[in-house]
Amino acid sequence: MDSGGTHHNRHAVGRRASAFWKAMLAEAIARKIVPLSLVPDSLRESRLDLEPFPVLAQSGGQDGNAVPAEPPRCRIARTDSQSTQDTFWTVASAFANTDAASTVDRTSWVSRESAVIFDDRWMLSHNKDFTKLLPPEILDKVFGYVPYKALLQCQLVSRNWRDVTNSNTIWREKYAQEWGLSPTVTTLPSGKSRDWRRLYEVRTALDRNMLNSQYASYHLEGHKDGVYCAKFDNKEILTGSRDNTLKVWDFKTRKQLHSLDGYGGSVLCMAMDDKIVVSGSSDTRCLIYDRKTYRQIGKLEFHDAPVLDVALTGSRIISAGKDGRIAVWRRRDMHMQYYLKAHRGPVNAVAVCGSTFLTAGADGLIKQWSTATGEHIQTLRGHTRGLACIDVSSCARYAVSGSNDRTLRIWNMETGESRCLEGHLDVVRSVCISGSRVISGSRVISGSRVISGSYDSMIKVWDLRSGKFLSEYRQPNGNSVFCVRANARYIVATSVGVHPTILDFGATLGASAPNN
Amino acid sequence: MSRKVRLTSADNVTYEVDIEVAEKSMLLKNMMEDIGDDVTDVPVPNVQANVLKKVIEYCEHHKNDPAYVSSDEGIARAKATEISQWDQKFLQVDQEMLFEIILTANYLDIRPLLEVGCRTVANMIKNKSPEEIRKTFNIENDFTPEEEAQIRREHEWAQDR
Repeated sequence: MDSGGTHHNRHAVGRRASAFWKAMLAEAIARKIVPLSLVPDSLRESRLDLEPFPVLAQSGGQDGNAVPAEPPRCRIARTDSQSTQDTFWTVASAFANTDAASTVDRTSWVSRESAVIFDDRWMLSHNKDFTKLLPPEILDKVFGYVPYKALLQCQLVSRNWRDVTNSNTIWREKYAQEWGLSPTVTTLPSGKSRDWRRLYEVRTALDRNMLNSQYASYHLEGHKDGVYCAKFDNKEILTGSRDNTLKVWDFKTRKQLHSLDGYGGSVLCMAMDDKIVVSGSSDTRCLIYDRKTYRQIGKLEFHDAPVLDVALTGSRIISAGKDGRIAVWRRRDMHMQYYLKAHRGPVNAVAVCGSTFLTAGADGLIKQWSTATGEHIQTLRGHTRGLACIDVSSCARYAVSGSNDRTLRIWNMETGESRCLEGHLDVVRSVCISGSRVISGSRVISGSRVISGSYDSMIKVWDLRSGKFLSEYRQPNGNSVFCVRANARYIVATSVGVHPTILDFGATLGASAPNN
Repeated sequence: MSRKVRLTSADNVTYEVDIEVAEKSMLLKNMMEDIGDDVTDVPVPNVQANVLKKVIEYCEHHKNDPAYVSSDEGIARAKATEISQWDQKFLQVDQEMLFEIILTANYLDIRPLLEVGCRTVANMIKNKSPEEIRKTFNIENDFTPEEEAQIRREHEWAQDR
């Protein structure tokens, strides 16, 4: 393949040059001890018979620290008493089997040797640290493929490796692989950038705390009866109660901000986003409030039995009734677009799933419908008794349902297959999928959690992908759990008792723990 | 009969390949499209013959693969699949050649080769102690004991996972 004699010579010499020697000169060149300008053209083809490495060990003994097995580059670093250049000379002279103390014509010597080595091919020598060779964007890729624990080992290799593996890009990739990149994580005020490594560490600690039950718990005080439903974001918690009120709480101070009391019955369910909150009541109506002012901005009247669940999309509101009907409303003017007689018996739960929605009935079935048209898409069978609740992952690939048959099922929405999770001793009243996932090819990356709450007073945490049971918490006083909501840091639970509970798994992590 | 193009390395060695093979490189593909249909000679400066030969070997083998779809989840997707036997064998080269191949794949914009090259390096790093990594890549430990202790302290929280 080599066309000229130059290549031939160089390779012949190169084979003889030990790995050590190449490393030495690469080092020397990198430290600008041997400038290229010192190499005369006439010497570029010179052939040298280089001695093998052990010669160094003999002569190198003068620094009292000769360990032949040691990589020579380490030797340079350790002879701190000498300047780098002198060290180089000590070693180089030893290697050339000459007396280190003798007055060699250093310039010509270096030139001669460099001529063998100094070539851009050799600069790519495998003896050069590749983290100094490859451009940052490729290094980010390489270390993006290195698992987390191995990445920590890499940080201990050298200063350059530590710096290279601290790249924000790598840690963003690591974070995405573990937990996905939800908009709440990626959206930041302009001009601010995320410390992804810090975020990764905090998130890891939160997960660990959730597994090891390391948490602080708080209560919300104000309701006078059992609390059926709750929703929260990073500012507020909203709760709906059997005391006919919907209350709004400050997340940080846990003080009550608003108490909305237009209801003629219990507040059974709610759905919210940044703009509105829709609540369903046993008085058969849905009341709609503005999220900023908490003034009522509308009401939906259609059902002739309690509204058991509501769901929101960008343009629609879906309500599910004990009357077995589903109503789909236009959000803009709050007009009903259509309704379905969806199930035999009550429709206990509804959840949005991409451009479709799912209804869960007391008849034990889950049905999927096109949101725009109301067309029936499929029916999912598996539970042996009535369904109480359903939630859908943000990627719309997974749904989780809870049933009177005391089990949860995780549904793969593409195949319609399900996995049954057993452990609760009574009705699984509430389920919630925590954490948004990155979907990659045909799979969802691990890390997502399922939280379930049951009339057996237990809150259980499961792994979404494997269905594995992870941890559990008992509701105080053995109260039946009505509702669980969760994110990476908090679980909010309501029950027959009057005090909604907040479990904070980031309490020990200080102010740096994110809210979601 | 497929159209042929001739690729010439930095050191003036020419290889004749099917156009589909050359088009595995997005750089060459775009270049050839810009120049027009009648192009037969394509210089590949910056790439030495020994490396170019290897890269062509890869492109020949993969010429019928579906087009690479770029996505943010590339790494995640790749993690889910094993490196193919052929690719593993293809990348069983000395480190110098491996890094040359990676640099060339980057330069010629051959994404699947770049990814598989990076994964191969990552696999060389995995499951090794810092000392083993240093040995593998011939790296000098330039940490002071204090610095090393500092990093170990920072890592402590993670060790009991």
